[in-house]
Amino acid sequence: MPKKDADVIVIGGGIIGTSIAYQLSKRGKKALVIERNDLCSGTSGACDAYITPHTKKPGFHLALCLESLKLYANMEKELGDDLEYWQRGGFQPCEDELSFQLVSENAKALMAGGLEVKMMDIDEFRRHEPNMSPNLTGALHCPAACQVNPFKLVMSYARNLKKMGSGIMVNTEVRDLLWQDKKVAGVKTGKGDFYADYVVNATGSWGAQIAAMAGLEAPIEPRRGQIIVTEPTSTVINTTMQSGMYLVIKFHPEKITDETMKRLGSGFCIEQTGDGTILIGFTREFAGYDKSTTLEGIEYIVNKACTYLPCLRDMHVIRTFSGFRPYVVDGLPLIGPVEGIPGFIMAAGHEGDGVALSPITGKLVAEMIAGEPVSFNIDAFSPNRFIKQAQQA
Amino acid sequence: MRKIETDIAIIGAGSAGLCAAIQAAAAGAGVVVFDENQLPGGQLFKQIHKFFGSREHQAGVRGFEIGQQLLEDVKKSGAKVMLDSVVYGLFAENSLGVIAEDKYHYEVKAKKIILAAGAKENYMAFPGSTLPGVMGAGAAQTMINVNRVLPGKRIVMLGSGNVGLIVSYQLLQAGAQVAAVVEAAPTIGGYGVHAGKIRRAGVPILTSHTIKEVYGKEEVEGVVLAQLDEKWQMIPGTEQDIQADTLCLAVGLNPMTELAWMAGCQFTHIPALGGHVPLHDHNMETTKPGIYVAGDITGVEEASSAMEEGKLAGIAAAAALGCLSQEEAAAKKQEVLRRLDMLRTGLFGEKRKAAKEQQMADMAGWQALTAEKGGVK
Repeated sequence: MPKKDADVIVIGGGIIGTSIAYQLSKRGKKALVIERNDLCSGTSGACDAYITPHTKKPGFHLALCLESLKLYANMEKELGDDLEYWQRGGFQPCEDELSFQLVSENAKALMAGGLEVKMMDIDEFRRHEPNMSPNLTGALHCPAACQVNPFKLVMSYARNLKKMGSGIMVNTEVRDLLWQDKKVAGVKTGKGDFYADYVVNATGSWGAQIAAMAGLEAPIEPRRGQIIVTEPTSTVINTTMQSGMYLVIKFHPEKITDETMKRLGSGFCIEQTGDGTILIGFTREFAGYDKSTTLEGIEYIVNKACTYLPCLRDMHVIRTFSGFRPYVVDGLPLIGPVEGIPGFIMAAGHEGDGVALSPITGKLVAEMIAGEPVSFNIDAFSPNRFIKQAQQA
Repeated sequence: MRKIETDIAIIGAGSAGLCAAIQAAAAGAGVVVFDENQLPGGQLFKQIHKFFGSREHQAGVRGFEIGQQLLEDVKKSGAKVMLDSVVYGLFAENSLGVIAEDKYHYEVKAKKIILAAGAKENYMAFPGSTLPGVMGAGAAQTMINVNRVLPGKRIVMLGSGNVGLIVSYQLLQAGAQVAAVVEAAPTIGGYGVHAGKIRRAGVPILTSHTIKEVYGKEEVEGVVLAQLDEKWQMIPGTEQDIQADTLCLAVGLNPMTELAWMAGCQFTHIPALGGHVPLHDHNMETTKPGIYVAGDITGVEEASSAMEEGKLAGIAAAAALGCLSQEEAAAKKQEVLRRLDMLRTGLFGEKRKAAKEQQMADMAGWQALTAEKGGVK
């Protein structure tokens, strides 16, 4: 075996990859992050900032997010940086009776899963968020919801992992995996070959391509999300919000009469950042790796936003952008080793939950590699679920 | 979303955009011009000074008079002008997102697009630079010549290029005092004839000087200048305090290229033209087929060359749509190119000419490279 360049090579310099490398470094492992473009240049740099447990699937998914929240609570202190991390709570506003009913049902499941949430009628909701339209039907309130600036988090992970002796290579494209004795032993890049005991695939929306190099068919697809950004302004909203329509789209698509909404997979989400700009989304579209924004998407988001928050009508949009969410058909990420491919570990496919699940994903993968007991049962997220499916089919 | 379909959409109703519209509409193309301002004419209507050059460049005619003539010609040409209409994006398949005067959202589909968005003023940061009273020289010129409002009573101008010199003179004409024109370079930047006018009016032009800071409680109350050494560093002890309520910045312009970036046009960086400028060929067509550029967006020059570039883009776009025969178009283009060449002579013109040639050479290089790779995708 050629000389080892690190204990672990992590492919992907986003919010998942840098978290894993940071957690490994904390455990005395030398990690090498290999990133094709620049840190935070993919999905982590083209998303919003939510950490919202109430949008997770009750069950393993929610439980995993709650573990992540615990880690977030101490993150600024641990990393020694301002991450624009705020726990200000989150709402799931509803625009009609159907979504209010679905959100209410979901609220029960969330509470059963250990999350504190509360349904509010429109008057109570507007006491918290007075700028919201009185025409809404109410909202779910989740006090535990937080937000964080993903750029700051990734940069802080990077600073900390470098301090502990790990490394980062940017502008370095992985072209293939290297094998030794039928085990993944490193990566072949545009800047040479690098060897390690483990290779972690943390390439998010591009996860399927790297998995294919290992011979794994990972069902991860890029799903485009468009977001608009307003001029900075004084405080308009106090919390983050994601509309309850999302549940309707997910569970009762047949009840949606708005064709554009269906086609764009569009709902409403909003947050205000530290410098006062407002980020408004969203769409969920399958458009390959086409990162453009569209007239239809922007118009839909703007109109929808104004029905929820009428005061936005007087504001200027200064920018629009889109990013890819790594979509997996069952809505759960792929985390863990892969049967028959020793040395290769998946940590991709978080779709819209990458920010929320960054700390816990990093911790669990690091525990696995360092040989520590893994602190959360990750069977539900094992990439092997798709291998079994394929074998059965 | 409402829809507009047209042969040619032009963004910017300034000197370049209007000239493009006149040429294209006269050739028979359907033309719609969009401008975010409430009045057409771009910068022309604040230019109360006489233009230079030869008679065919309307030398001796004042800018706003040229503007009035252009508006009349546009009216006759049949081109439609939509004012107070913001083009906020250029999307796939030549479609434009527009918020129009009626506040409706339009999707504009055009066979050809001409970007003539102009340029914006450069800014400079120094202590006090965010105080009310610090403004672009172009903004001050709009206030006095279009809105008839004096920006202040006692003014310091930073920058002795033609904009700084002309606006200083016009501020004097409008009734303000100009305390000084400050220039960081060791020599005056603009034409001697403009510098002479303000010197004769008693305004000092302080070369090798810069702004150290601007001070004031609620707004500008004074400006502290300092002399620069040959390495452009402030010389301690040379500070002088000038009382003033306004500081105008005439420190250059940069092209408003956002839509060209959004469309995916290839760019090159040429400082003499104001920074990043889109590559274009002799027809003013960019690396994106069907998207043309004209005027300051292609590199900051002045109104006369903007008008000629506009004409060129209008002729080329109309010809590409089949509104003009090859021969007609070639003859018209040749005329324009000859006049453009004449404009780019003399001390200042030669520099611009060299820069424009660089831009064209970069375009040719790009074309050769893409041809090698099998053409434009």
